[in-house]
Amino acid sequence: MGRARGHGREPTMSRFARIAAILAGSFVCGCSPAPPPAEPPAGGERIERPSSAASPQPAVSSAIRLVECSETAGLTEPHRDAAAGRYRLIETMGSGLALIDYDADGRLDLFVGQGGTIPPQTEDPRWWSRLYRNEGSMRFRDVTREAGIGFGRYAQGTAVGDVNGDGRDDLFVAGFGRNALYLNRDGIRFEEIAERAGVAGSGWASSCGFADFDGDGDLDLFVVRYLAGTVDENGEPTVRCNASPGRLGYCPPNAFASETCVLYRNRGDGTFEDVSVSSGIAAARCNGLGLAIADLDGDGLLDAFVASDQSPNLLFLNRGEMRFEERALASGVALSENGQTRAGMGVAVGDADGDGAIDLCVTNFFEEGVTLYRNLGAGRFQVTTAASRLLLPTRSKLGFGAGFVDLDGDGSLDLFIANGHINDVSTIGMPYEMESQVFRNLGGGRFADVSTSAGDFFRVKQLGRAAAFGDLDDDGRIDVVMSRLRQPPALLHNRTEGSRSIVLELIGANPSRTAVGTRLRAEISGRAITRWVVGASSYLSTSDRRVDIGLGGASRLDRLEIDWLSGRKTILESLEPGRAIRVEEPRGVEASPRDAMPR
Amino acid sequence: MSLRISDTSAISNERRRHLARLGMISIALGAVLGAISLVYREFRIARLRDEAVAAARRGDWERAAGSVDRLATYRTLDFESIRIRSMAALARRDQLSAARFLGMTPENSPLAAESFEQQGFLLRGLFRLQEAESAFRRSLRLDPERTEARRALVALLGLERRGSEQEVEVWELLQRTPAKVEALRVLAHAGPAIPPDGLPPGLDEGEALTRAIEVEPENAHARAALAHYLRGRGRLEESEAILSGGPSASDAILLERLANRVEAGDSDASARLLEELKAREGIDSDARFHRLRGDHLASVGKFEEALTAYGRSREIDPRGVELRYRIGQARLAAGDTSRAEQDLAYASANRTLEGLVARMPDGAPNPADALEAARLCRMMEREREAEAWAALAGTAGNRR
Repeated sequence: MGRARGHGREPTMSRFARIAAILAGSFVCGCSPAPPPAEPPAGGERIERPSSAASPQPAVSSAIRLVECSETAGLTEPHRDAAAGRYRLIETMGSGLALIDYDADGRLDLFVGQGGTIPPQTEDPRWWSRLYRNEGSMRFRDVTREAGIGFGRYAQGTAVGDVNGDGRDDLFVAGFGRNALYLNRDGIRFEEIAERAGVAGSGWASSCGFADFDGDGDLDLFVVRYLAGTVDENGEPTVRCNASPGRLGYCPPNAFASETCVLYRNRGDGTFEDVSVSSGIAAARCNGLGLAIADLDGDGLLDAFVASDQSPNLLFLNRGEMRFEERALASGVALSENGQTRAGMGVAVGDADGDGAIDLCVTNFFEEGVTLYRNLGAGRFQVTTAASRLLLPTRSKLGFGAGFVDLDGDGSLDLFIANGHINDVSTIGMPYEMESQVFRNLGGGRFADVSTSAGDFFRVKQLGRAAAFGDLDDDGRIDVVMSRLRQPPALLHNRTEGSRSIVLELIGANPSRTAVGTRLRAEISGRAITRWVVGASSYLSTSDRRVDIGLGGASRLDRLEIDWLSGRKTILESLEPGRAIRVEEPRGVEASPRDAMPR
Repeated sequence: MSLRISDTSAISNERRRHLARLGMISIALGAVLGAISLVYREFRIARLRDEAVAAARRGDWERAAGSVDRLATYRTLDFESIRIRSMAALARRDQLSAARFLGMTPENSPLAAESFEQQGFLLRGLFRLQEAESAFRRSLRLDPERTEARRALVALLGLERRGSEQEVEVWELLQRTPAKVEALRVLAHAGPAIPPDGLPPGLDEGEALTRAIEVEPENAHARAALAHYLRGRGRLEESEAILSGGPSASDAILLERLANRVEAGDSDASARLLEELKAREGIDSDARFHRLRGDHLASVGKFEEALTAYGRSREIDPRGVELRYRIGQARLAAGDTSRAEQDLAYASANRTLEGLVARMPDGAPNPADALEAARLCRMMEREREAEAWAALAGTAGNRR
């Protein structure tokens, strides 16, 4: 247990002590034992897990159970803002999260964005974002100061990736007024190089993501921007609005000017060039918040979908050679089922209906409900929110972060949504704080709201914002981290009984090791499951890039085809649940023509 | 004998004359008394009216009401008396009586249209929406230029989500009102809209409809609209309860029940309700029925059949923006991408129009904005609206 996956430091605890700690943690905060180790499969290298207790018995479908344990985990720093009745819109948008194994010890560490002041007080640690090192057993230690990663501004979105090809994951933090790029120097300390790297940017950046858009092997950076001119040079709001009669509140986005997104091309040395205009990205404006990076039209190139707040969503289809075409309206993802703009916030990405295509679910404003866009292939989408039974249960909520994640390990993607209003309009009968929601995938593209049975957390009203998903204790179950206004982040430990998954870490054969865009097609007892490595999703957040495939009661995964974005293919057979499996993209093999791939 | 006879005759004549005199005196007396009575009655009426007016001026509404009530025993009330009685009822906070008195206004009274308009507002305030609608329509029949009554009617039809009826009234309003932007703004919306200040003061849509149903439990339009409102907030169970409590035979109720099932993703129940509705007389000419049928068919992947249903809905209601988007979606799903793009572009243009019009001031809009609105309407083949915007651009340009 605890063997470093890469360049991390040696574990400081003995194996016995670790097991004891895990058991103690299980008792205190509900941390589950992990499944036993399994033999490495052909073509893949086993990654030892930090825990070693016996796994629970599999079940076809178990009741989803998520237990909030942020306090015992050591996540106690609340999110702050400098609101003071000024109603600057940034104050209510929350901050992002990132799951990043910065020390390469095999455990996902956690970056938690913090609010700020205007102008920023970067020297005051109260306004620093936090980096928490995963100590195992669902316990985290604040390493912000030693890592040098405070930020000190209103932190927004996050992106994780190896921008300079040194084998270590770096961290990009989008901000209000300025971004930061933290270069991972040695798995312990970071160096902020945004200015030098050419990605400091300007304006209000929101979600962001790293992906190799031009196929040259390094990570480019897509940054969504929200609005322009929300505050003046003194930091005061430029427009004042009433949220309810006679009562000031946060203005709707249409009170301000829309923004363009920004695309930075990696020059190959960790510095970037702004190609927003030449790529066509700057040709469209929106009030962008959520971002999804994936091959959405199945042509083997990475596209970008931007969820927009009260203006049409944007879909930038990659036409190759760093050229993009905005096709949201023609693709059916710009508007709601009624042809109306919605207040798009976050976006969940994944195969919601099990048909092998990537669907998108956008969270929206109170009374709008989410919008589920079912991918019909070839860049066509159909709104199936009502038919999926997601429309009515989400109308009474204002959604932000969202993720399609297989929480019960049954092989179908469930849906988690972080909720909370932006304005306190309770005087006119609207809820301000709201319960988060979890929907179980019933198959066939239908969902059931199982929030009330999923744990006490889902009965607590709060101001949910960002949400990130990943297996934080390596027990084969996806956990959830959710940021909240004026509270520490919620850590939802997945305690679903009988859940069993295969966890795969894919390493691309390129300098950045990125596998974003890779498709995995699994066969489990005759059932086909498709998953992707997604470049960005949710709201302001970066989730675990490892891919989780629930076995749904089967004892093993029969066959796995991995279609790398380069055109190469890896086939694995007979995988059993246990430790995470690292799969490296084959090198030195000629890429097969993309059109020969049954994508 | 003969003398006796003649004597008898003489007496008789004398008596006859006497009687005649008496009769004449009686008639004269009667006439005098009648005249006196008539004079007194007129005097009394005038007195009672004066009393009523004086009491009303003093704010002594009880006395004013008493005078008018006594006046009513003499003659049919005139407009002024009705008005005083109505005000007296209002002073007692008896709005319903006030509305009913206003409803008694003779239609040949020069102020009848105003009276019925005020009756409409009182009834709207009491959430007697059907009676309020009748009052506004009565007022407009007498005086089609009464823009406040028309505005109120537009708002009321929007509240009850009666889109096509609302559109008819908006066009009437547009011809007559100086506030053309406001009227065009209602038209720019994809569905029935409630203009600003269109609701009774201090109430939201849900409260207004809830009270309307309390007052008139059989008001199917109000029930359907409230069910729609509740569903829009994710309150499906409450929506169903509202529909269950109403007149089950109403198409409006059944259609709303179907909409609930379609939005809940309950395809089996949707199919059953569609069968039930299909058997009803006149439903084939209901655009919403066909649209909901299309929604159900699209949700179960029957895109070609959905397009047929949407097509029928469009024949009946060619203006439906939401319908065009659904047609585009169904065409996209069916693989007819080029035609889908046209439909989706139509919906997008309407969205742009809505945004543009929402930002316009109520008075004189920027001519460039009005021209852009006209262009968008032309793009959507809504010529009448386009002409209205173009005319407004000209007016606004001249004013500037």
